[in-house]
Amino acid sequence: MRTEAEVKADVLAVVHAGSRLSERRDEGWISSLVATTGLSREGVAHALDVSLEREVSSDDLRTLVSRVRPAESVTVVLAANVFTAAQRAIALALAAAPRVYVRPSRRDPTFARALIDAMADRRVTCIETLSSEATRGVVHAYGRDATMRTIASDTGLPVWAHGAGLGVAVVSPRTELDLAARMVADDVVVFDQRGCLSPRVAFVLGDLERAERFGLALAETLALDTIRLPPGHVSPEERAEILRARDVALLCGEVSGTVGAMVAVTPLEKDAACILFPPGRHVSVVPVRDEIELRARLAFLGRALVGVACDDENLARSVAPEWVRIASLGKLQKPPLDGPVDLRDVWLEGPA
Amino acid sequence: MRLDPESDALHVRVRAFIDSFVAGAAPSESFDAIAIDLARFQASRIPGLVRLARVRGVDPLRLERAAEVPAVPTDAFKHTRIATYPPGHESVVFRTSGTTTSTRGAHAFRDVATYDQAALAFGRHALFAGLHEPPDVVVLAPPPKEATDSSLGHMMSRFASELCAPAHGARTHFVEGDALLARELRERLEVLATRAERPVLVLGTSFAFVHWLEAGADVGGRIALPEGSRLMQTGGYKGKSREVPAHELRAELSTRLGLSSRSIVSEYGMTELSSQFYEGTLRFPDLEEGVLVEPPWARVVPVDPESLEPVRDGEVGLARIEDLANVDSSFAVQTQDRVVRVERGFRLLGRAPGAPPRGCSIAIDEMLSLSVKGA
Repeated sequence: MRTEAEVKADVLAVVHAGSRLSERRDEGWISSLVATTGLSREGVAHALDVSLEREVSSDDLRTLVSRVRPAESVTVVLAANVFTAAQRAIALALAAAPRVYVRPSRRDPTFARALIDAMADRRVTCIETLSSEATRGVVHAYGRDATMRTIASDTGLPVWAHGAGLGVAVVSPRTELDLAARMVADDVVVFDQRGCLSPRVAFVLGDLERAERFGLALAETLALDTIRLPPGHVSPEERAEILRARDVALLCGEVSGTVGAMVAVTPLEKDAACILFPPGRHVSVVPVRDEIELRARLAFLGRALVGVACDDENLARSVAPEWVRIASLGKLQKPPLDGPVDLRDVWLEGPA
Repeated sequence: MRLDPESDALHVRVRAFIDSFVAGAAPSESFDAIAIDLARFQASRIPGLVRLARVRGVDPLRLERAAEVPAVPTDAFKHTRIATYPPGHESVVFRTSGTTTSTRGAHAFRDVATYDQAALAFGRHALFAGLHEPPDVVVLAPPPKEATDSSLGHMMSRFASELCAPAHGARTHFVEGDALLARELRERLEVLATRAERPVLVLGTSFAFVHWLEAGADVGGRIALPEGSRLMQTGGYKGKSREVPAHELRAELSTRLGLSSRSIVSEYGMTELSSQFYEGTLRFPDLEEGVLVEPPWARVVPVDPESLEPVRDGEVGLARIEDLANVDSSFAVQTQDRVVRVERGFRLLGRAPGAPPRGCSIAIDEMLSLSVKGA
């Protein structure tokens, strides 16, 4: 049985290993990450710069430990694309249990394997399949909801499910729009918007004209970002879906930009759903009249909502559901290491 | 109904086009001529169509062919009003299936007469072919007063009232709320089969038929419907029943009702359209099963998913549907249904699967599923 100090030391070891990896920039390493993540070289480097934890405060560490369910062992099942997520996932697993098995994403195993190698801790090992090792303890799973239900059914073990989700940005009435656009873009471009916190919608408090000014500023910023931080690979199927969403958005409002940097400003009727572009740096901007409407729009997103970024955190807390992570604009993709990114805290308790 | 001279004039032209088909005569003007005028009219009233055209490099005032008209994605009907007139002047609003208002598409009709004329004209042609008298009818759907926003329900009820024999007080619709009245349906079919006075037309959705077949263990075996009887099935399963492969459902219905497989006709339509397409086996004895035929006022064009340009002959594409009867909404509608053109018609190959999602950012259908549960 580990002491509290030992648990914290284990978590810090993951942080330090990740921090060392964040400095690694040799060609082979970067190329393999590009190949498996689908991000551009610049996108990979950017993620290494901004998305890995290098230190953690005592308070955050204490909160992280309090948020995990202790177990005999944890099997971690990782998703593809948001490759640095392996650091937080393994940190959480080690906080929960002294023995951790990690099944990296089949499509995107590079970073997870490297992190485990860098840790050089025999208690944390890679596995290829679940069946051989995941026979006791719990599973921490990351990815699509259907995948996690399958894992719960196949293993018969409790599964801490960190499923797909989305983030939104809220631009309050007092915010300077060009600055807000820069900050929202900062959250959008990381991992090409493929993370569960990535803002896909920006609600702008005010009238349509204000939303349009913000939308144009955001479109210009994202367009400039495609030069310094080129988007990664987009398949023909993804491109077709993006263009279809664009066409839907055009029926509703104005659209600026192109695949990899697109913004639609779409006023919504009372009961209409937000237009949600496929990820890839595409944002719907929606004008909202007041906090009442904002609360209703967020409520519609239901359990899909994982994070809200807003320059006015009090406003965000007053309108967002309780499980949602709140951050400043531009900081949504940098949550403190105080627990999982996804605070919905969903457990699937074995077969249905 | 609000008067709108420009729209009314287009309705008159489309109805004349339909009338000429019914009369077996050549239309007085071409499909493309009407289509271009429809597209210009719709663009003049729906600003989103102008934006869509601009992005495609198309000027609605300079169209030369129907194929140039940009198509409205069916999803757009869920997010915005696609109508050439202000709200409050519709005579009916049809909605797609779904669980909440905000997840259902809506298609508003100022004047439903053209819809009715088109539906009756082509329904009579494809579904009632070979009949010398109106058939008895049985509908596996709620009656119109219970499903006022269902275009399919509206169409089937129009068939029942305009093209079928009077029921003289007997029940014709066998769904109440969400419940299929399986026993009552069987009893009615047995009465009609025993009397054998005239053919029977059975209309319903695929999932309703699956429910009825599954209830069959409780409600007896085979019923031999009179000669000339036929069945129309339509629609996907939408999670309302288990999914049964089309050939299996057809075979099961054929056995259970004593129908040849060629008398079981699939219908393809949607809320976003005014026209429908049918398997042509009743009208054309030599046509293969699975081939759907089009009325002259509607076309199905397979297009590339990315460029939305027509694919080469024989290639699979997504169905772009051009529908003259969509006078007050959108002439051209873009679906996500995969189709391939064959001789005399097209085959429906199922919905395009969509790109596999990457990362943890939620996909649209996942979000709608979660947001409905959380609402």
